[in-house]
Amino acid sequence: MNQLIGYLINGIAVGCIYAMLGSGLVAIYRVTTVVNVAQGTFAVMGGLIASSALSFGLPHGLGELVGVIAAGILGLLVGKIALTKGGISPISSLVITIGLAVAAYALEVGLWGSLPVSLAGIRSVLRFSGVAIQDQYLLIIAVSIVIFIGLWAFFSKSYIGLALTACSSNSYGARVMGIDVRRMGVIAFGLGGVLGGLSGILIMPVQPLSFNSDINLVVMGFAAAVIGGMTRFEYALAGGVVLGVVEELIAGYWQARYQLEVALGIVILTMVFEGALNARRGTAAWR
Amino acid sequence: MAIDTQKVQEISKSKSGSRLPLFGAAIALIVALLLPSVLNSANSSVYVYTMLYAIVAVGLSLLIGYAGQVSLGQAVFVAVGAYTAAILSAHGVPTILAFILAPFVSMMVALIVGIPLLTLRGNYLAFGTLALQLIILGVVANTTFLGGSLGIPSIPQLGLTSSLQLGSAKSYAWLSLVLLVGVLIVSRNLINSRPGRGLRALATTEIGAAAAGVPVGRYRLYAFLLSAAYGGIAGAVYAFFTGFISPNSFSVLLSIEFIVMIMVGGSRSIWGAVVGAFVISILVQVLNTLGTLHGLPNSMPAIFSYAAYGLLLVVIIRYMPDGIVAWFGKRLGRLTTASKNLD
Amino acid sequence: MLEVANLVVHYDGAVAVDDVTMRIENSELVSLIGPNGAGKSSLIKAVAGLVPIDGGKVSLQGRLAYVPEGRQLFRDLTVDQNLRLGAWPNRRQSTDYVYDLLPEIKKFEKRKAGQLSGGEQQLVAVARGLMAKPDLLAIDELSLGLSPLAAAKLVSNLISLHESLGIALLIVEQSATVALKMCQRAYVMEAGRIVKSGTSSELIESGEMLDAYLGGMGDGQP
Repeated sequence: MNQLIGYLINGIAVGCIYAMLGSGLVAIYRVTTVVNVAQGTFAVMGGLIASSALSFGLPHGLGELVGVIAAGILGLLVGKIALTKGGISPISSLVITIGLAVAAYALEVGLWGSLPVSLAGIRSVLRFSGVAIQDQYLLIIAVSIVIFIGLWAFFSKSYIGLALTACSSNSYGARVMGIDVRRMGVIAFGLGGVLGGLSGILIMPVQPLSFNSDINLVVMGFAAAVIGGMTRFEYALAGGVVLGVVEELIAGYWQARYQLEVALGIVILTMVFEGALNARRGTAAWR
Repeated sequence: MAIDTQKVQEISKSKSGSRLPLFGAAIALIVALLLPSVLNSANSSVYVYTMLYAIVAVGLSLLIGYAGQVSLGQAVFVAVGAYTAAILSAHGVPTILAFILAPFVSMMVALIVGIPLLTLRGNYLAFGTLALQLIILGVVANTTFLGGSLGIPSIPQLGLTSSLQLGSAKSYAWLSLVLLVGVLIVSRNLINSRPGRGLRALATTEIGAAAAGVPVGRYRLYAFLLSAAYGGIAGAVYAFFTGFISPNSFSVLLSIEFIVMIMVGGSRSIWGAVVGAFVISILVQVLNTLGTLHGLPNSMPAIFSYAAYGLLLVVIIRYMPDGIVAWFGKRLGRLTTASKNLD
Repeated sequence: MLEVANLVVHYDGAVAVDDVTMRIENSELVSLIGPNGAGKSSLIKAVAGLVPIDGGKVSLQGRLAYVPEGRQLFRDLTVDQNLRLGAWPNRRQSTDYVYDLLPEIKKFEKRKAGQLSGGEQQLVAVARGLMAKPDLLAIDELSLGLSPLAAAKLVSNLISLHESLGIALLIVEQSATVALKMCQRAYVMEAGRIVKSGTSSELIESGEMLDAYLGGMGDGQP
């Protein structure tokens, strides 16, 4: 029982990371219908830059902030490159984001090497009635709650959040209002960068990241997002948490080595099932 | 990828209009035939890899350029072919039989995963294939029977008959050339056949193709199976040639390399895939030579190739969406028309 | 206020607007009528800057708001949020402004725009256009998809807006009935060209035009 509580808390925390990555993908997809393969790159770059900032002597908090801001700027850059002025198909934009993710490898390996890099987080461990939980996991959950409330407030209360939602609801209508849909797409990429960077600095203390961790991160983020049909943040949160918990339970009670495979299997089934559902409803699922 | 009917028509018109490409292909074939006899063994390896890359890339271009579906996990079928060849020959199956079976096993895997996966489109299909590759590589890495993450060492050489064993890089070079030519002939005939025209219609508008009576689902699956078979062929030759395979030999990055190749060469023609494979192989060699210059860190070749793949992909899609052949072709065309106008 | 001179617009390689010249004075009520595919929408979109111009000139004094064909509301957003976006990028513009002008919208300000009836949606679309405080409001396919009753109500709303604000209106319509009744002047378009223009009463008198271009006055109202 106590073991189960431990697995659940760890699973929820890891799930929050997936949800954060997934929300970044959702933020971008809603406006642009592009799946950003470089989403994992934002996490890796954010984490690596934060680790360097800390090693240069910046205090905790500030160092991590530098990483998140850098990831946000990176997001804006990726958006600017992936969304051309003339407009290209979403799948072409997707391939550009692959290119940028691979190009980022060069930078990451060049500056930080190819070995996993860790980040000093909270090292303390919480113990109660036989359960030991790293406080970093609790921190992840706490920060995630704040982030998701912030996301909700941003999209429902702020004017720019409203405009982003408008672009996803009806991009022609947004254009008629004089909203620059491409620029909104770039802003969405920036938001995706910030969310990616946050997930990176939060996960790195418990799970060191190397340059090629991005693939697993983006795939798990996509998994979380796809459960909500790529457009709903709250579903991405739920999807991420479910995946995280399932992964942790598989690792705890069965075999850690199959956790990724099972999670990915769930994703494929979700997509196929969703597609079949859409086909039955007669709505086109051309994504 | 940015599919544009008008452009497709322009390109096909310019092709049928001149004999130049056929002539060029003939010259290329003669050069390719003669090349292995003058190459040293290191360069022969490069030659073999280039041919194998091209075989996979041709399959992927059928998939992307003709059937309009992006696979980010194409290396998985190469892996299936390679593992089939390696496992079967390790268990005493004659290598030639293992070699022949490899593409069929790849196709079988493609059939099993393709039926659910191909109900997906665009972004979802791309991610589905990527997820598939991660799953299969993960399973392979955890299965002792398949060599686990350490892989399978000392795979025997391919024996065509009991007496004729392929031993030298040179012999593999010729074998892979023959296979590439075979793959090209099959693909070309397919493209010009009725199903091929249906496929092309698929890439432009799927709904339109369906309305015109093209059995969309079936053709998409056929393209997927064929591309998997090509991957299987290349994988099997790779396994026999290198004698060692592991999950790392078929990473996601390899799948992305195939995408880079067909984007560079132009996804709308199978020749583009060959050109792309050739260009990328040469580029990688050049970068390796530069990266291993004295005084540079060990990671330099990797850094160079990451930067090259990544930036190439970005530049090609943004500025030369039809690939470099079409890009230069257009500029050359403009030049010649300009000079004609001067006369 | 608006001057269009020799405007040419291509659409998908074909000429959609062919050498059109028209003008609208301050506070004028003008309609643009013609059959489906005559180029009315392309003309108005070019004026609104939504499609590129391939020839001629559009000069506009003051602000233009464009209410697109099919309303193009943000269906997942509330009516109030839709209105706020009408003032883009001026976030401080209060929606009370249009609630004062069109009090009936206030009733469904919290509802999702996608849940409203066609007439209500068209009214919200007009209100969203008004949020930009335009000098000229251009409405594409005003009565399309509306019941005669809803159309009549909308027209009376528009006329009172016109009277209280003094803004100019450009109404694009397929239904000659609605257009000629509410507007002072009209342009008739066919195959990309203006084929007739004049005051509404002049156009109504020349009955042949109605038969020839608009299939009579039978559609819309009894």
